[in-house]
Amino acid sequence: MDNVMCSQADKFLGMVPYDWTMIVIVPVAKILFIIAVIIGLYTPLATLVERKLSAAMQDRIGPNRAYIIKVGGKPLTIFGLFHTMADALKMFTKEWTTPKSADKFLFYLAPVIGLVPALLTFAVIPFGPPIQVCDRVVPLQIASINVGVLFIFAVGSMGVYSAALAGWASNNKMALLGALRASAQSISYEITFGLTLVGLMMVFHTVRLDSMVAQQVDLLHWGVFLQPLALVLFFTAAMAENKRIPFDLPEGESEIVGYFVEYSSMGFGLFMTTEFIEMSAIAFLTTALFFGGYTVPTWVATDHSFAMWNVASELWPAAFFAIQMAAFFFKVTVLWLFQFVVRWALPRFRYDQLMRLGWRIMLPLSLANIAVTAIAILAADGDAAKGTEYVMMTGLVMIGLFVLSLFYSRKPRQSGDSGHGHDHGHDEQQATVAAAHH
Amino acid sequence: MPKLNIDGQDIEVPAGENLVLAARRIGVEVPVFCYHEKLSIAANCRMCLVEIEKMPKLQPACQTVATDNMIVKTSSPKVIEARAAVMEFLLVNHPLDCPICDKAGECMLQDNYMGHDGKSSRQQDTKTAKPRLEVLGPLVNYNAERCIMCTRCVRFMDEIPKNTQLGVFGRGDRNVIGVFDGKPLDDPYSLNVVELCPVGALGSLDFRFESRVWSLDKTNSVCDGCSKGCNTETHSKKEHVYRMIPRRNDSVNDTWMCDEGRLSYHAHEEQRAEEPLTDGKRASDATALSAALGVLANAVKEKGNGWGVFISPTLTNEGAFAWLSYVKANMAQAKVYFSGRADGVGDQLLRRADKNPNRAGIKAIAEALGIPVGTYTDGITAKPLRVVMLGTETPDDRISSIVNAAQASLVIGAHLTQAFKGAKVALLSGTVFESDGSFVNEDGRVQRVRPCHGVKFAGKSYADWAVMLSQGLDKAVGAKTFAWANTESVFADLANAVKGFSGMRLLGLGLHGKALGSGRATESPSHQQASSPVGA
Amino acid sequence: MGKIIKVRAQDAEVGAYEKAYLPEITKGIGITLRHVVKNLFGGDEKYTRTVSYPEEKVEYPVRFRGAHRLTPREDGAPRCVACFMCSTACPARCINIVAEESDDPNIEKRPKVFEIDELKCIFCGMCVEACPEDAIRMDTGEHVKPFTNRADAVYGKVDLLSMLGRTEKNGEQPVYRGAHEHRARQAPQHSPEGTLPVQDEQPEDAH
Repeated sequence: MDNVMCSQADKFLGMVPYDWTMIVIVPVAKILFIIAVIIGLYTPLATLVERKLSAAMQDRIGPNRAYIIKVGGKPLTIFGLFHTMADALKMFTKEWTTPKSADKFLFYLAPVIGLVPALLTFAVIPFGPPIQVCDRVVPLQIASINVGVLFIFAVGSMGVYSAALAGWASNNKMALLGALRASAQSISYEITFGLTLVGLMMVFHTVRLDSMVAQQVDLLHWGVFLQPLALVLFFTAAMAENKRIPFDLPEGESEIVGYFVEYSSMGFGLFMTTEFIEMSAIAFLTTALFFGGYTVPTWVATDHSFAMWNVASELWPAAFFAIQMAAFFFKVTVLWLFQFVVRWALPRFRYDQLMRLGWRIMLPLSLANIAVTAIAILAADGDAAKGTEYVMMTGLVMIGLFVLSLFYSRKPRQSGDSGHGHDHGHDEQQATVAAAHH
Repeated sequence: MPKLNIDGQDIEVPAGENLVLAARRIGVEVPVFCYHEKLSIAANCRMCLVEIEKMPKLQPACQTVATDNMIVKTSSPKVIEARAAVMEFLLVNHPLDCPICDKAGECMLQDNYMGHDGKSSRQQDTKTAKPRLEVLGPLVNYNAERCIMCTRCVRFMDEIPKNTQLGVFGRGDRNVIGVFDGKPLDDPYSLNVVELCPVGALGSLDFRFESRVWSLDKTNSVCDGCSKGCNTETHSKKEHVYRMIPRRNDSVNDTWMCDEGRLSYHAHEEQRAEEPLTDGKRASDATALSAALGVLANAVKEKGNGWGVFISPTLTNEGAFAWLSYVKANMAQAKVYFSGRADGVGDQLLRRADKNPNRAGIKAIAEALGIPVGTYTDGITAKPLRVVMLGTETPDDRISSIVNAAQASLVIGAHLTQAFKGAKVALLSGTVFESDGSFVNEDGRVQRVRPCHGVKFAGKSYADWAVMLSQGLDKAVGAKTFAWANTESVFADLANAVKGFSGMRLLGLGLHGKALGSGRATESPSHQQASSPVGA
Repeated sequence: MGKIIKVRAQDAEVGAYEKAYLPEITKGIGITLRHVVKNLFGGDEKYTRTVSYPEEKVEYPVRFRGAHRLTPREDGAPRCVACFMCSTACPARCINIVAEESDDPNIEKRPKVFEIDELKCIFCGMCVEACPEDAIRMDTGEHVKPFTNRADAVYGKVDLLSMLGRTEKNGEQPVYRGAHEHRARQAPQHSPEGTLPVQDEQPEDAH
């Protein structure tokens, strides 16, 4: 039966040159799969989760009224799922207003510029183990390119053009303010975003994501254990790049509404979609870099060669493939949900706090992370296994030192210690106030 | 001129002035109930008790004449205690039915309680029951429970109309105000007792339960019921007038007013015209009206004989001046006659037989413009074939039939009278409650009429002078055009043109008006720019 | 010229622990997660108190100000004496009264028209406070019924009289405290000992 299937496939694939199969058909299939998952599953789900999960967090019920049909006389609401559909329908059918004095071309272009890089990010992220289709090995990664992570940086930094252009083209002061904030914020955090991964590249000796994932089969070799500080910095910077709460100053709906203030209908919808897609992207990327991608801990699969599933082979590898895929999407979903939790748990930063966090805390920490990692690798002197252990140890020590330094570097001020007196060692700010006299 | 000291202030007052008025000179208000400046003094309410040094007991301020070296205290502890005691006694049998009392809000008992008592009642027993609704006359009802027996009403009837129709009956806590058997309170001044009453005992049947007084807007104006020109306060709410009460003007009406004048506001809301008419029909659109006006303007342009102008002395000075200027410029041949309301009953007090408010003013204006104004007498005077009628009031139907029979006719007025309905063109002017302007009363006093708060020009009506400008009647004929912006500018032109008014300003007339010829010449120039020159 | 004012920056009591963000953020996320878990799977321990309104209804407190009603006399006529106190007190000016002479000389005044425009009403309860006759109450515990026509929102005398208060709905005899009752109570008030009622209300000096 297997042979029949394979020969059938060969017969079909034989009609086109082999190269064409691998260059066109397989990538297109993978692209369609990713798009189906991202746009068809995660993004619509995000609008529902954004409403239902936030309701649960805020002790509300959330949307639960919309229905299309009644089952047994009772409206079928399915946890307010139809609200999501109605949202989408609304986005498509509302009037798209364009400001009279807007730069029309850029105004229409900006949301698209935002959407495309967000989707391109997925091109280099492996979302499953390589599978063997008959005699061909098909990696479940759209493009296994040499630059790997660098491609993500390159494409990801395109996103800021979307916000900047949207703000500029709207010809609206508030939109422009939002755009400026978005630009400044993106540039500030992009540096940390990049530097945090340098340590990871040093540890894994590669920038290719598929080989990074392959090296994380052992649980203790997961990025999260090798580079724990990098994970914290990376995830924070990634969320800042995505401009979500607590880094949503470019939107700041209570103050300036943001760079998309003039967008309505699907124009705004695209920005929102982009945001949700980027959330998925962050979850995908973090899973691949720090949580072992599609791998499951080695005690589940002691034999690495087991990982390769031949479509035509027995049942067990197929099940193992399913477990790996499930593991990947489980990790992704947890990280994805975590971003919602962060969003609804934390308040928005003030702008000076945002900048201080980016430049004075995260950037030095990421540089220190690189330095310490480099020292550990040098100390290992080319012994890969030793190097990994050193790096892991230094990472843990760094985290420990970081936490200890937080506890003991400066004790909280005790206001009652010296009677009514103030702590004179503390900064005293002087402000000159010119009292206006007429 | 006695010199005395009241509450630590030395003042000098005219001889014979009582302490209430003397205290008022230094801004001290002594509370009173029975005292009224225009009535004799009874001193029976005891509210005005004051302490006078070297006098053993408190003295009623209203009855005590200010004398030299008097030292008066109007708010010593003794006085305050006495006032509170008086208030308590007055309230012992007062039913406290303020919620259903029409006086509430302008009641002296309420005011003095708040000012000088403020304590809860200690009355434990049932209050004396008395008749609550006794109709004393066609216009006045009496609630004996509320009465505090100040006898203001009785004194008024005795002293002002000198028609003793009210008396005090019974004794002790059973005494009531009443009329004599078979003689209702039907004096033409009977409604004055309603304002005089310091509490809600005497009520106007006309105003009974109509409105609470605090929700009424008050406008100082002048009664247009007769040539006396009593000063009034018109009380209106939204677009309706609810009552007219007299306003003190010692040069005209003291504080009184006749019932006829008080009730005259009813007539203004009846038969009110709401739209201009052409041939008695609604002018359905602007073109129909302008076509009719065009025909009329052509008739005026012919300058032929046969034009007659009936001017009603109910017009304001401004209206009369505007229209007489128009007549002089465009219809020099026209004969001008007085129309207006027919003569009625007059008396020595306030009512006048001439029921028109502004005959004196129009006569002065016509004289200054050189237009003789006559009286139309049927059969002797020639019947005018073309008519302009200003004001819809007519003494009888003869003038109406002349208007209805005329070849060309223009009627300016506020009410759907026979003349208004029969005119070729009938335009709307406002009533006295809607218009701004001035009247001259029979004694030659120029007094201002003010539009009531909230009472807007009904339908498509204008002030009587503004009707001409609103339809462009002056421009249609073209001999002379006018460009007044507001009533003040008309009055300014009037003041320049008519000698008696010279030096007056409409806004300078004040609450009490000014006698003809009393204006200061220096006041006029500032308003000349707003007006256009008027033919001499 | 201006004066120089020294301003001391008064920081909140924040130590390095709090400044490090991460521990506090973790704590905050923990709280959020606790709410999620309890609200989704907590059963009776849910934090959510939301009520699905038309299906579920909470019982309003006794002092809830619902739709107005006019209280009736024993003969069914309104207790209202058309004193305009409510319309005067009304900040929204939603009460329109036209008074007329009553057939009963002891009542004197009664409303010919009594209308409340429920669209204008802000349910402040001033009219109830102002009424000297206990004639208007907001004790129906009901909302104004939905309407599709502005005129339907104007409740007339008949509508207002037809509504029942809480006590009547519970089958109890309502107790009115108006000027009538006050006058009736006032008449025989001599206590046998001759003590003034004020003395009974003296506070005790227990402490």
